[in-house]
Amino acid sequence: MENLISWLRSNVTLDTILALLGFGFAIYEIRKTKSAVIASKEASEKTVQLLSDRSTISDIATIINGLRETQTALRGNRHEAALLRLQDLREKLYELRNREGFTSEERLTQIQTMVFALKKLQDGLETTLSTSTQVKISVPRSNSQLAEFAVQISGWREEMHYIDRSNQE
Amino acid sequence: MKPEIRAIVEGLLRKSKEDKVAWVHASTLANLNAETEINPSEQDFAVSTANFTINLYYSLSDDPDQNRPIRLNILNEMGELVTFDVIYDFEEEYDLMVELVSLARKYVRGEDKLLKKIMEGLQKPGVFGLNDDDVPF
Repeated sequence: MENLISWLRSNVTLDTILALLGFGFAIYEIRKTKSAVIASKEASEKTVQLLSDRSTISDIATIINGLRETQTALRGNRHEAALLRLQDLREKLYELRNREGFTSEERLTQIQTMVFALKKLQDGLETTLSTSTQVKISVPRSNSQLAEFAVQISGWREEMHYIDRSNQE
Repeated sequence: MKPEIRAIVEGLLRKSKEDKVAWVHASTLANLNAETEINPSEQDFAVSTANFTINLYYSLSDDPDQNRPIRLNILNEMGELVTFDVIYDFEEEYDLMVELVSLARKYVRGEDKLLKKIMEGLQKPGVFGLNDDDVPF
């Protein structure tokens, strides 16, 4: 023990002590900065997620509006307007396939069922518009189906709102 | 019938017989002539998975003396037609297709389940058509 004390007295200078203190402080600062970087990264990821959720909620609202506009167009026998809406709806639904919360097998099958039904209605309208055919679209049946889709999609919007709130916590 | 479509039809038939294909009505057409036509919703069925849809329906025929051909469409995620086949009544697979449409119709209507329930009710003792739980006293 005495040897150690004597060695320290002869070798450790004020410079060494200051250098050690400085080194410790530097490590402390680095760790603090690293935590801040991680926190900042997490915050930016949450913000991106939040923006993505907002975008999906907005797209869902657009889809519901599109379904209602299609129903109105069908009731008024405005088949050309209905066709335009149906094409937009199919594209919007297709875009949802890669969004957060929409990639499960069950949700994708629901989207596929809707996209197909909209295409079927679209084809039926196109046939109706052609002059040589006697085929006629059933407006009550089609509108009932579109209403069912709107209800189902409203449920998805509620789910997204729930995810939205949990992100803000 | 295309060989690849035949394989699909046979697979669908096997699964439909086991009541394991989630068929849905697919028609959006109105019934123009109720006396001569089958209700369009009774002849147009589809089943969807996450990535594709198979649609099966009686197609319109130009020849009134001929049975209506049955068409099978396979559509992708955008609802675009990927492949199809039309089977006419002179083809050997026509009966397979008729059976498949019939099974799809039964599934959508819930016909087998309902008939089974009726038979179960008829086999029980007591009054048929009166649920014991509904009797207040």
